[in-house]
Amino acid sequence: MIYGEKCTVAIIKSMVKQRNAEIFINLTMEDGFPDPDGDLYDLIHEDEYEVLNELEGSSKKKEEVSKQPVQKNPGSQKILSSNSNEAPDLVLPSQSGITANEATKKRTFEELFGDVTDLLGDDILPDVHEHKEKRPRWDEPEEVIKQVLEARRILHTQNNYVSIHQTAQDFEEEKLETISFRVPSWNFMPVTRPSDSERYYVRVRSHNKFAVTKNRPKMVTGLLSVSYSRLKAEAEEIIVKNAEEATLLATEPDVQISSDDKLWVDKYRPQKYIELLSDEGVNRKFLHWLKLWDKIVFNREPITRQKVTEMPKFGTKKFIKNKPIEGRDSKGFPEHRIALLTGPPGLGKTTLAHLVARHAGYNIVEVNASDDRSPDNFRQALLASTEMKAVMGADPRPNCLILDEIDGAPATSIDILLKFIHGKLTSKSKKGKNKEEKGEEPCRRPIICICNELYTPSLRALRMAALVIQVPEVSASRLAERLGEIARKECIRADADALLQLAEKSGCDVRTCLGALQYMGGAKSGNTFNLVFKDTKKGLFDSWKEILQVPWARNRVIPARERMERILKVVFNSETNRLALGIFHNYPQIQNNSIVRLSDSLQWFQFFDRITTFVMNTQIWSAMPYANYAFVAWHFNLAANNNIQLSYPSVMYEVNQKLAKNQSILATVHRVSGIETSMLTIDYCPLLSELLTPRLRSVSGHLYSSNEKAELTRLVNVMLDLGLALVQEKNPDGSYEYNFEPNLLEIGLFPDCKKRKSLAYAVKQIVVQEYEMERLKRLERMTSGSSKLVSTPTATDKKRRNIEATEKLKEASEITNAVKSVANHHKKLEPVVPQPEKMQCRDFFGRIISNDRQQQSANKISPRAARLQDMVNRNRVWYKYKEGFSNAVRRTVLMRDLL
Amino acid sequence: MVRFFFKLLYFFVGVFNYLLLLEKMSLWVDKHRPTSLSKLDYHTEQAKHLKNLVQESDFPHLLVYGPPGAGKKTRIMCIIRELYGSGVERLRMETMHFETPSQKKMEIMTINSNYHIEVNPSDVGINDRVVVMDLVKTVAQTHQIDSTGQREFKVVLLTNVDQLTKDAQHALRRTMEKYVATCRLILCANSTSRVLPAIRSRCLGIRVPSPTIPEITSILNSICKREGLNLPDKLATRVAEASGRNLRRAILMLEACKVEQYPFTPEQNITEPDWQVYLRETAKLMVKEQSPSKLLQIRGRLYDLLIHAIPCDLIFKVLFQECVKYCDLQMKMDIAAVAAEYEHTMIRSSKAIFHLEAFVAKFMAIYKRFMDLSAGDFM
Repeated sequence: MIYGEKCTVAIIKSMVKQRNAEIFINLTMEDGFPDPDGDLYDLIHEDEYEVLNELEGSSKKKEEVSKQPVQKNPGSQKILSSNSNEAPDLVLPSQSGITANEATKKRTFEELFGDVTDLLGDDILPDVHEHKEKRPRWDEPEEVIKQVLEARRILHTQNNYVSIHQTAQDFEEEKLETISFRVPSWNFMPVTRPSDSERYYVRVRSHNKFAVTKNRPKMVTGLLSVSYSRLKAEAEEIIVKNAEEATLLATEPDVQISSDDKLWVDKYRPQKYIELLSDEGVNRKFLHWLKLWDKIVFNREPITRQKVTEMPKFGTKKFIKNKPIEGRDSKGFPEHRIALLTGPPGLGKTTLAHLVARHAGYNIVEVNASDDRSPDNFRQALLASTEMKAVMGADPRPNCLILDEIDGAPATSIDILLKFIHGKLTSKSKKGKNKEEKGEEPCRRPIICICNELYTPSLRALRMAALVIQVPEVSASRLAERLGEIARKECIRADADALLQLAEKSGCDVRTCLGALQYMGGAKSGNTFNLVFKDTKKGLFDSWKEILQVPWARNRVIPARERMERILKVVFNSETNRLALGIFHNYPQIQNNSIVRLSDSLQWFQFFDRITTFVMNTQIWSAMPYANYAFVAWHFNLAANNNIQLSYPSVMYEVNQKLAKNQSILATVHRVSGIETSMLTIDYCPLLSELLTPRLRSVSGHLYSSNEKAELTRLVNVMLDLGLALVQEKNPDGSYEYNFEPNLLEIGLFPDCKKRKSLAYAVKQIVVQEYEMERLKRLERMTSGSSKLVSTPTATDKKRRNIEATEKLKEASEITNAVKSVANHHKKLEPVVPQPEKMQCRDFFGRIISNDRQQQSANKISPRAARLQDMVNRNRVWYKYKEGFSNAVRRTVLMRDLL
Repeated sequence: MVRFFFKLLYFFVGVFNYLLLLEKMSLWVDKHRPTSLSKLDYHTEQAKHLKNLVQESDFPHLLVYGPPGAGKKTRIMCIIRELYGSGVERLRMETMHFETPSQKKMEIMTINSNYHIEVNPSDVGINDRVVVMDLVKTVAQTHQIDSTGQREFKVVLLTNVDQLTKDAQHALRRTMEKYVATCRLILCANSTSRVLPAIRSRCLGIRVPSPTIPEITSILNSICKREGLNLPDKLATRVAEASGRNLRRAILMLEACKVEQYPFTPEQNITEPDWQVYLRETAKLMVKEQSPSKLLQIRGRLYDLLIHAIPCDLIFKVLFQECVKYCDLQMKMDIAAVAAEYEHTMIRSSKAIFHLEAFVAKFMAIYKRFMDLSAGDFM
């Protein structure tokens, strides 16, 4: 399929052949080739078959013959797998000797296990087989990584061989076109035959071409030979490389009409574990995590580190089995229920997740940004994908949920996810029925999240709960290698240097590179990539590092001009404000010698602030770019040569928080007292701690001297004026403490200044009592509209207060008694006849007070009553208005009427 | 007619969210505040002029300015009392609600009597323009209810005018002229430099200078007399000096002294505001060592000051004053120039810490260079 579209003419032909090849392969595979991913296998191998087809002609017999070397691979694979079945650490009683035919009902060994066997893939050459005996165990990553890398290398060589056949075949086709009678489209040299002066056009080829021709027979034999020696392979590899380059140069660009409308990105998406471009350590870590789920999902122990050969003794097996495996909790769940893959876009995170999940034997359910991720739908998707299983269809694998682009999901959805993995979420429908059963059942399926920005605020909680796997950038050289491979497959000219340049320029974004390559249809070293790459946004820390560190390239400092351009680029792509804050926050740790330089760069901070404020106020955004030059200045002034440690500028945020708190305190006080906030901070607060701590003994309030009482009154009044109260709070050590609320004092106090004394606890209790009393009094004064403006200053004097109270009571009783006591509804406004001499005074209980006592009381108290009497005497008519009285509503109702 | 009047009254009561009657405060600063022009203790000449001004029928807009603690507000309240009589002493606190064009709801606290309204528009930050426009208009568009035997105009007292945004000040210009028949503005500011010239020219400027040290001592003495206390002259002078000619601070300090220790002794400890002490220490640090690590330490202190809501221009000012004490004449000039420039930028920008730190660094740089030079001379 990949090699099939060279010439438009050849397509149909090749399609037919391809079919044949496919059928054949399927046939061969079905007996004893237990690969669940059969299709993949086809994809890779059919190419080789097809090439061979074309090389040897279209007859099927020949094809079968020619296939022998390739067939060797499946054979070796078979041995391999059977061998691995025998390997004791891999033994699982129920699963030995399963063939692919049974795969529909039982899961094959490879599918479930996905161990090194199928890691190494189906393309492994025989010599890999040779060190099967010392194949590393599952938990020895270094060795496995080494081996995988080796396998990968070999895969490449093999691909190269394939391209040799390609070359050879091309050559034969082209041979027909070396001489032409008309002016050809290729490079030519005109030749005139002296005999009949006929003009020929002879093709001009590069010198290398002939080298290929020479080598050709050798290559064919090489392909057909059964075993390879390493040396030979290497030697041939070099030759192949040369040959291939030559061919590619020779092929005409106009042949490259792409007949496939598939994007290369999809077309060349890795289909196998070994094809993954990402860092092997990361791949392995991720796979390891996924394997930890085996206990829960497949009820099966993953391979442990122990070599089973070492424990032939009876009973040891059980012991091993019960031993907890690292990275898991007591119930057998992995420590982290979620894996969070993170990294810049285009590194193949999604590909990695898909591939590994499939590899581990899961059915993938993907939820990405294109799906609705509102909390309800999200919950539904979660429950559906993890608690259910496909019943229909031939693929009864357990589900694995991949949440792609999770940094865009709403925070509430992520909350649901977190609840879910901790087993606190139940499906709504089930809630009523079997709540108890479900109760604490946590998620039983692996969930993989993928995001670009790890530090998105909504992901904060998830970050804690998940196993965070940073997918690092693909190394430029490796990416370039892969690009070259693809370019070869697509038959386009691609220079290694140019590809490297492309890879570097795109920031090692695989997707971008492939897109660019497909778009340009080739890359020459002379080509300048004036493609517009997407804004490669860097993280804040990266940007800060870029600015605060002197860049080194090849052991020398990059020239100033280039440095400036780089900085401008970095700043251009990010949030300038936070960037500036970060630099401000971090520079003192970095720059450590010259105060003059610091003051210069601080002037640039002033400049920056000035510009941003101006822009914010006037909304003239065209001024904004000038601010970027401040970053350049900071870079040149502050950048350090050595490696630097940066921290996030959270101080600014804290300062703002505390300031806001203090300002709200000031605002409340301002609201109560009417004193301006600035005066409060500057003048009142600093002195308040003195003003509010008078010298009071911690004895009962009754024992205070008059001075102390006056102090207490003053204190309470000041507190009331400023709206402060003493509130009892419990200290962490269990004792109680009274604190001012709002805590205005704190605003006036600075660290390492004079130590202030505070009132004793007992004194504060007295103050609180007094405060409450005074407060109520004020409230009363305010609500009773009459509000005697002249307030009684000595609130403390309890005795006097008592007298006052009795006075008031007496006054009131006198007034009421003065009015004739009749039932409410009989009351009428009657003209009052002034009868001063007959005026009777009654005491509280309505008894008539005898004259002498009346005189006494009149003398002693009630100036108000006297005034009333006086008023009654003087005026002929007066009335007393009583609010809420009405004849219409009130009437006497006897109990018997109601009964 | 009477019913209508009541209805109107209820309407107004309903408009304002809640009412609070202000009581006479019990701190000495408020307790002993003079309430009429004739009772003012200092700048008596000016008080006399003001009295004449009030008695004339033609009362202009006023712009009262002077340093904090000089008695601007006291003087203004005296003027208003002189205008309307003792009715102005019944103060209410009200919260008024406004809505910005962008539908943001704001509330602002006003203190008002029947005759005047006092408001600090800078409380609402950059939205002060709306407040100025709405408030002045609503007040100005209603006439005095009972104009017989009263002034025909009401008074709007705007405080902290120098902190108003340019927009708000421009909004003020037109309203000042348009509603001159029904309302007079009294503007109160610390300095006129941030008040638009257009507004300055529309007002009668009255400068209230800080009281001198003897004036403050005499006031402190009279307060003590009224409180029945015995104040030694020396202590009074010391308090007056420590207050930096800020009368409010002086009285508060005196009261703090009294609470701390009475009877007074001449050598008694006077509590200074913490922030002042803190800034003095900071300046000492700056002079002691000039290095980036010191700068980092000072940054922490500056943050502390900002957290405590100390206005940044005050920080700048005091820091400068403290620093300059350690400099000789030439350096003083240099630093003053730098400080002036930096403060100007600071006021026009938003992040005070940048500018404060820039000043500190610049001071360190200048100081260090100077020290290096003089050290070179000795060698």
